[in-house]
Amino acid sequence: MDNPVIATPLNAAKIDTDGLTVAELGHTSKVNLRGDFSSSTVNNALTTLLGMESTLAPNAFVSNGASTLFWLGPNERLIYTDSDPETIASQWRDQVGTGAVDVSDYSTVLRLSGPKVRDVIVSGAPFDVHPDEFKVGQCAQTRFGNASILLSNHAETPVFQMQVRWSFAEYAFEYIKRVANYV
Amino acid sequence: MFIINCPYCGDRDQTEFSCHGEAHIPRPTETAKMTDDEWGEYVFFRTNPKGYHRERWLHDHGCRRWFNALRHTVTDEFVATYKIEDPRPPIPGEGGRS
Repeated sequence: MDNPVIATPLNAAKIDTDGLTVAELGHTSKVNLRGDFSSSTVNNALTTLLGMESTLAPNAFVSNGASTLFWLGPNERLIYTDSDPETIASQWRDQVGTGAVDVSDYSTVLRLSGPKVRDVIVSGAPFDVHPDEFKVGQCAQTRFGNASILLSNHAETPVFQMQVRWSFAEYAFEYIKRVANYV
Repeated sequence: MFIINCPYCGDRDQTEFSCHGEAHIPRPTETAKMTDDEWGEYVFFRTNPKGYHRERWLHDHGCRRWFNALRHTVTDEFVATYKIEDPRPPIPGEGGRS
């Protein structure tokens, strides 16, 4: 089946200035998973559905190419996936019996790269993104201005991803755009 | 500005959190038998101490989990934060009273 192009709140907007590149990712399928992630039932489900292990340190994420698994809380994970989110959610509910919700359209994802990225983020987030504290493979739910975000560190160059709620996407994007002039 | 230790996420800035009043107030079980005075006690009356206070906190912008904190209401010192199911940490200087 052909995937139709699905709208995102910023219509793939970009910022490209000296030392900072920001781009909104295309529509990303996301599923929020609840359950006891220490149980073998959950581990089996993750293995069969996504080919992933359930062991994940707090504030960390793992990716196997097709899917990315984020820690959101002791009994909560978020996945980005290339598969059909509805299918994964219903299979999760069948196999595990706890909640799984397709949250693809709750939020959008901004990819931030360039040497100024950390300065831009700390201008709005009360969170320490120093490379000694926030390493590649770590994620954190925090605040950017007034928007709740899920921040993740993907490469040392650096490359960060900021997941922000749909209704806050324009706000966060404008915030970044204005701050980029000062940092 | 100060740092609060979320039992799930670790040290985070206070602006990620919100406080929701006194902790360890059990919900009444036999509500149909309660008098107005008992309801008033449950709903409105708090210890409101000048000193160490056990409070419910929510990590709004983080993991969105509830936890308890032992905080001094004058100095804003956070003695401890602990999960809902954890034992209560002792109040400092009171011989381990919890």
